[in-house]
Amino acid sequence: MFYENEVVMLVFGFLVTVFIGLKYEQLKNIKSYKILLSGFFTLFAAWIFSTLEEFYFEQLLNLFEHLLYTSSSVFLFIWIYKTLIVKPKVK
Amino acid sequence: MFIIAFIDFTSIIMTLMSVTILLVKWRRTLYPDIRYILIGLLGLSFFYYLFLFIEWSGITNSLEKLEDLIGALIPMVWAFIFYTFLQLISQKDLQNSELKYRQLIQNSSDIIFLIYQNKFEVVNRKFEDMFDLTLETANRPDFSLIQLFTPKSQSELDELLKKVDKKENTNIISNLVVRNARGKEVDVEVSFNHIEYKEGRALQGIMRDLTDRKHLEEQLRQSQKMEAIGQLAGGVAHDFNNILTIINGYSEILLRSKLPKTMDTPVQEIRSAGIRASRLTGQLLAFSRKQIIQPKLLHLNDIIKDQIKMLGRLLREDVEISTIFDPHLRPVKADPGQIEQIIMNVSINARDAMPTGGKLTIETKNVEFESNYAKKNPDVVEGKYSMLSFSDTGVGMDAVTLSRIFEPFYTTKGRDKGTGLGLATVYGIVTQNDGFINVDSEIQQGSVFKIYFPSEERRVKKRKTKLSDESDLKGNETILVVEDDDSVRVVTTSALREYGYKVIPASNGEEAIRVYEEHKGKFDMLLTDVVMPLMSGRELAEKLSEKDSKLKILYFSGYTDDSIVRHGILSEGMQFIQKPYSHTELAKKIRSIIEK
Repeated sequence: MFYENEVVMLVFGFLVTVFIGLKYEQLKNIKSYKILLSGFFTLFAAWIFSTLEEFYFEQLLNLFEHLLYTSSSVFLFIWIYKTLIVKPKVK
Repeated sequence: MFIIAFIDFTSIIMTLMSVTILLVKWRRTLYPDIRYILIGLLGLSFFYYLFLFIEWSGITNSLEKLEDLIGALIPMVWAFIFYTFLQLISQKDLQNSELKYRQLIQNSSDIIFLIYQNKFEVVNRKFEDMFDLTLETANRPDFSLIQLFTPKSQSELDELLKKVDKKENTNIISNLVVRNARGKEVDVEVSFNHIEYKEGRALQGIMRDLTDRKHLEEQLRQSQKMEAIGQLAGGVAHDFNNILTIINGYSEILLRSKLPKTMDTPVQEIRSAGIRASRLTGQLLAFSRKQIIQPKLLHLNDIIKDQIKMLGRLLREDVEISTIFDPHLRPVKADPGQIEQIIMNVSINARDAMPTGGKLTIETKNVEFESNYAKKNPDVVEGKYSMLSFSDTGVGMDAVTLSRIFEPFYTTKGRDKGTGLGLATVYGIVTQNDGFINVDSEIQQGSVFKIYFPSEERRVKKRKTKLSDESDLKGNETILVVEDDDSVRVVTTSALREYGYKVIPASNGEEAIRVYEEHKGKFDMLLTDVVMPLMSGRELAEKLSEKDSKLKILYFSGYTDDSIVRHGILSEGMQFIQKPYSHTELAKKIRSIIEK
């Protein structure tokens, strides 16, 4: 069964993904953009698993969902660390 | 359950760490505009993971509604983050392109300005330098664009601006004259067009300084003119040399014969007029770069030192001569006689420019020209040069005189004082030796002639002064004289016979070979003209040299010819005498070759 909030998150997440796809070339200008995008996509994946767990492998997908939340927070941490703390290499 | 709670706890810790870093480095963040949204995202994430943790730890399920609400907000905040980033990126792109545009305008070698709503919006560095105006001063109420132009150009500018107003998006170009900061008139190529700017249209103006281009065009015109005059002068000199050989030759023969007393003076006069005419043709040949030269490695310092005494006699007492020698001056490859001629001609010119006395400074110096200088001056090839300069404190020259000083027969000295060939000769000599001249002059200040010869790196052998034996120019050897001009052949034959030589004449190469065969083994020397119909002097000499390798060869001609000399430069070992020659010169030359 669908939960309303999960569908809302999924729809919003999908819209953001489309937006990223359309503006990908410009978003590449963000420093360490791959890490930042990974932070979002792991979160989006977590929302997908959160919806799917209602139908298949509930416990396993639930575990994945929470692991993906953690991965997302790790990616976000790394991105903040890299953009704020790591100094650029001097050649 | 507990595993998931533990995983969620890790998410909470990571989020807290992210918040900590962000707050600690708040002021130093790379994207200041993002930091508030980011802190919002981290806050929402923190509570979301906290509620998940509480839920999975089994503490309570009452926070589910709040968790759902936060969960729905999170993707929106992500979207907001990416959107803000895009705004920042396009803003930065715009800034970068504006920066590039500004740099392009500021570093342009053209004058660029932008006028919007009757105000200067942009003026570049070149504009500021040229007119000594900043953006601020250009916008003073008492200043307008039209004031930059000369009165004549102002009306043209009016017309031009009307045209630009009528034709949108069209670049209209015109040549006008502006007055620079020092009040000097400068030719510029002006182009105007309208561009979209802010909320409307702006007038963009570009002016290109044409001074360098005009200077180069003028130089090209001048050198083409000199080339044409040179060809004409060389051609005239060639024909005159043959005629003068006959006049001078017969006058010499007449002077040596027993003439009635009444005839003595007229013949002397003919002879001296002939000599003067020979000098003139010699100068014409020098100007047209067709004088035969034998370049040697030499030091300009040595030649000047040799010439100083003679200069002292030549210049008046009220002209002080001073010299500044560069002790490390590099040698040059040039004809010493020609260098002496340059020193004489320029010094005489300086003397005449100082009618009430003054100072003539002769200086030598090593100089080097870079490719940039060479690009701006077509006469100059980049490289090392030895400079010979003459500075006088005379009356100086105006721009018109300065542009014509090297033209033959151009003189400011009056009818009887100068031939107008002195500086023309200098010009010819210098260019024949791959050098060039720069002249600077200011009225009532004086003139500076800077003559540059390409430097040679080799060492100079000390000049040996060869003393020719003038006491006995006579000989009894047999000479084959080949000359197509009957009069020249007859006079040369007669002169050589007078010196005791046995002479057999021939009028062309084929006849000369026939004569040679008839008197095989008798000839000591071949004296031949260079340019002849049927067979050239060089071909004849080569054919006879094959038959007799000991045969001495002397060429004579009134003109340089590439079969003997390349661009007037005699190859080593080649013997040549320039028409018109005196009989004594010819006899000396023959003796020196035979006795070698």
